[in-house]
Amino acid sequence: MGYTIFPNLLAMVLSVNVLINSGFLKWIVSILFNTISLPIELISLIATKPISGSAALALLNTIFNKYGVDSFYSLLASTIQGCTDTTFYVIALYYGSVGIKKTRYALFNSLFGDVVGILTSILLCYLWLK
Amino acid sequence: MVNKLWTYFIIIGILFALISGNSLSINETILKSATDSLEVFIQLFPVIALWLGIMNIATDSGLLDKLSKILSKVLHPLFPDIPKNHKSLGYISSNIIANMFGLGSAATPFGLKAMSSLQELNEDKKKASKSMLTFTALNTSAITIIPTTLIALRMMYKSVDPTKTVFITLISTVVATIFSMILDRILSRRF
Repeated sequence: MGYTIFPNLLAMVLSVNVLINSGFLKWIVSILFNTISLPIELISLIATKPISGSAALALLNTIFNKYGVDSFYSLLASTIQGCTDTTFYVIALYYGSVGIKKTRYALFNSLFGDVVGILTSILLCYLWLK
Repeated sequence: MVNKLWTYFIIIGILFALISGNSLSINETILKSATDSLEVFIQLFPVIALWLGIMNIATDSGLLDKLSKILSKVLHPLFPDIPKNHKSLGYISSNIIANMFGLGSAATPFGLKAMSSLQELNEDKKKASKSMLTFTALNTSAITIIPTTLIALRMMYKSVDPTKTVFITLISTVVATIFSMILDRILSRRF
C-alpha cells in the first residue's frame, strides 16, 4: 500500500507547494477574499480539500506547525478538515468505476453540501471557541 | 482529471514565480517538498495501518454488519427507488458508517460496491440514477461522529484537547447533510 501512496503524496505536496510558494494562490486569494480576514493557509485548505484529502492534510500540518495545534486558527482548520470531503475525487472515482459519464447534478449538490458545512463550522467556531 | 490538476498547479506556479521574480523560491520548494512529503508519509502510515486493522476487526466480528442492518432501515426512505432488502442498501450503510468514524480509505471499497449494485438497478447505464445521486450527496456531506485521522494528527502534535472540535464537526456535517438532502429532493423532481 505504501508504494502506491508515496508517489501520489510526493506529487501532491510538490505541486501544491509550488503553487503556494510561487505566490499565485496568495495573489488570487487576495483578489477574491479581500474582505475575509482569514490566514492564507486556511483559505488554501478550504480550496484544496475538495480536490485532494492528502494535500489538505499536508496543509493542516503546516497550519498546526505555524500557529500551534491549540490556537484558534488550528481549531478552525480542524473543523473545516473534518466537515468536508474530497468531493471531486469521490465523484470522479465513484461514477467512473461504473462507467457513468452523465453525472447530472452530483458535483453541484456535493459542493453545495461542502459550502454549507464550511460556513456552519466557521460560524460555530467564532461563536464557541473564540 | 485530478492528475491533470497537479500538472496545472506546477505549471501555473512556475510561470507565476518567473513573472513575479520569485523564481528562487521554486528551486527551494522543489528540493524541500521531497523531504516534506516523506515526513508526512512516515507520520501518516502507522496511523492508517492501525485504523485499517481496527476496521477489519469490526468487519470480521460482525459489528459493522449489525450497525449496517440498523442503519439500512433508517436510510430506506431516502432511497425510494431501491427495492426492500436489496444488497445495495447494506453497502451504502457500511460506507456511511465508515465515514462516520472518519475512515475515508475504509469507506471507499464499500462506496464502490454500492455504486456497482446501484448500477444493476439503473435503467440508463450511461446516466446517474436518482439513488446514485442521493448516495453521493449523502457520502460527500458525510455525517462525522469521530474524525479519526484528525484526532490522531492532533494527538501527534501534542494538543491539550485533541477532541475539542469533534462536536462542532458533528453539527456542521449534520447541517450539511440535511441541506444537501433537501436540495437532492428538489433537484430530483425538477430534472
